Amino acid sequence: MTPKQKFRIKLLFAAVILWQLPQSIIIARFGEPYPALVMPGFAGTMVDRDGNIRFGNVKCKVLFKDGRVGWVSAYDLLSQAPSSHHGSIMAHMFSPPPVTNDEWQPDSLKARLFPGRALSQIRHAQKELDSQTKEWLKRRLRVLFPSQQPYLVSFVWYNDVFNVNQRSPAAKEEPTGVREVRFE
Amino acid sequence: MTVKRWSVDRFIFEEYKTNASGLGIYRILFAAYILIYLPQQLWVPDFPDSFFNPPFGLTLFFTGFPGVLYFYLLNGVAIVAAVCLLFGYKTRVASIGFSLLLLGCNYWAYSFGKINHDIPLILIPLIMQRAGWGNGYSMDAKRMPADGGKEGDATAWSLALLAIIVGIAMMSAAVPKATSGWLDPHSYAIRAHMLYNVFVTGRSNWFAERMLRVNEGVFWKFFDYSTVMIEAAFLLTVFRRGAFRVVCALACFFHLGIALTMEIAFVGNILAYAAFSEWSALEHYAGGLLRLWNRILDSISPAWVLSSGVTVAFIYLRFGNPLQLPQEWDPVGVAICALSALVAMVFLIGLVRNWIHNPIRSADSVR
Repeated sequence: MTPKQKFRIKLLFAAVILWQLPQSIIIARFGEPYPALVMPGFAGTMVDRDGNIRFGNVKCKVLFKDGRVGWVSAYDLLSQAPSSHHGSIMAHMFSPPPVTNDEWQPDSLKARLFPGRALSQIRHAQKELDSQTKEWLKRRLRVLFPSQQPYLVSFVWYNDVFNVNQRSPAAKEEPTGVREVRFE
Repeated sequence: MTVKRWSVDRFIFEEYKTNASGLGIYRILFAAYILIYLPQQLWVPDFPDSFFNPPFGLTLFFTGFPGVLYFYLLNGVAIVAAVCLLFGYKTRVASIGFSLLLLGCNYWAYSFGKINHDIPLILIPLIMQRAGWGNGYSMDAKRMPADGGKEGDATAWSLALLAIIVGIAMMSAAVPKATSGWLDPHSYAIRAHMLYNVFVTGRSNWFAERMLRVNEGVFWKFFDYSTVMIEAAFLLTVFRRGAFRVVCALACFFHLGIALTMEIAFVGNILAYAAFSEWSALEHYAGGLLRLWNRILDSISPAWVLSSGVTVAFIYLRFGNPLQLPQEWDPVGVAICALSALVAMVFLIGLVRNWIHNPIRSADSVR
């Protein structure tokens, strides 16, 4: 191997190491990029001030036209996608819309440069679910509850709170919000 | 100053020297796993564009997902590349091609607001094609004889690069834990994450239920501390191959624990650690099998490899991969984690035995 080749290889090593700095800035500013040299952080202990373990959860209540009620878990609703994605998809698509509106203006430079991110922010902030998602939801419910006509779906968000001093972990539920989707 | 420059050179160009035959066996094992793993991300077109939520990356410039054809096409070519990789035909092209095709599928699957950390599966072929994993037990090696030992240098620096990448990636997992309460003696992070995994993600099983019944703080704190320590240890030991291999072996037990309790099998990581194993030892224990493999390589032609790849791709995409089990949890991944823990145990027992019999030479034997 020539000294020039060795020098290039050392440059490659230096680039890999130095890249960690801009990558860290990107993660802090915009969230985790893809691809990135990152492993899952599993940061935090989810422990609240009283020493209880607390995390957000969601369940889906379906009201049918004949008055019956059905319950669906995120796991069943999104069974087409890997379970690792369920939490993120539910939070982005079916959580109550944020109180503060920090979506990008459609005619701003960054919205024009990154239309994917701009659209996803708009969808996340919308009060009414868009027709595409509604149609998908209707199709999924038809698969999960064949022969029943849904007219209202409520995504009930709550905190699971575990008392760590109990022998076996049992959750107490604290409601945090609801998102309703009405079908015609 | 001179000593520093020497040590950097030694780390990059000598520390991770290995042989082509060992890497060839590693390539076969990697490709065999990939043929269980593919096809991937065919579920993406089941969701409408309204679900599109891209991370910082290439898909930011798009507004929705590609159609079914895109995923079938990329998976089809990736399966052909994996078959070429298995037999070591056009290894470099197949390695780079496979990495890019998998990346092309993952971009969209990770545009739902969630990124799975299987980046080692993309980086391994990109790096190992430079290491010369196509120079042993391959059709390429049969067609082109080894080039007089020149590959030795290339092998060493590529593996050193993979080692430093693994070290950095694992440190990126250790730092957020260490700075967010995992080291606090009064909070039990793994217990909280397991509860989340059981009650939110829905991954509950016999092991998780039994483990969550344990209420002893010492028990949970041991796992919190050892997780942070093992993840940080990769980067701290990267300059000494022997120590790095011990960390890789210990990490196999860590990943088996995660696979059994949280049903998350980090097979990409296991495969990255496997690159540092001395697979040429199998020539001693499974020489017959490898001779048979060489005879198979002698008897097949490039056309046969390509047509086999196309046939496998057709079967996988038309009927599904028969080696992929329909369960949500990943039995093959768990089995690989268990196997890796077994190999790690044999390695560590051998190491301890060597150290007891000959403590002075044991530092060399670990290499």
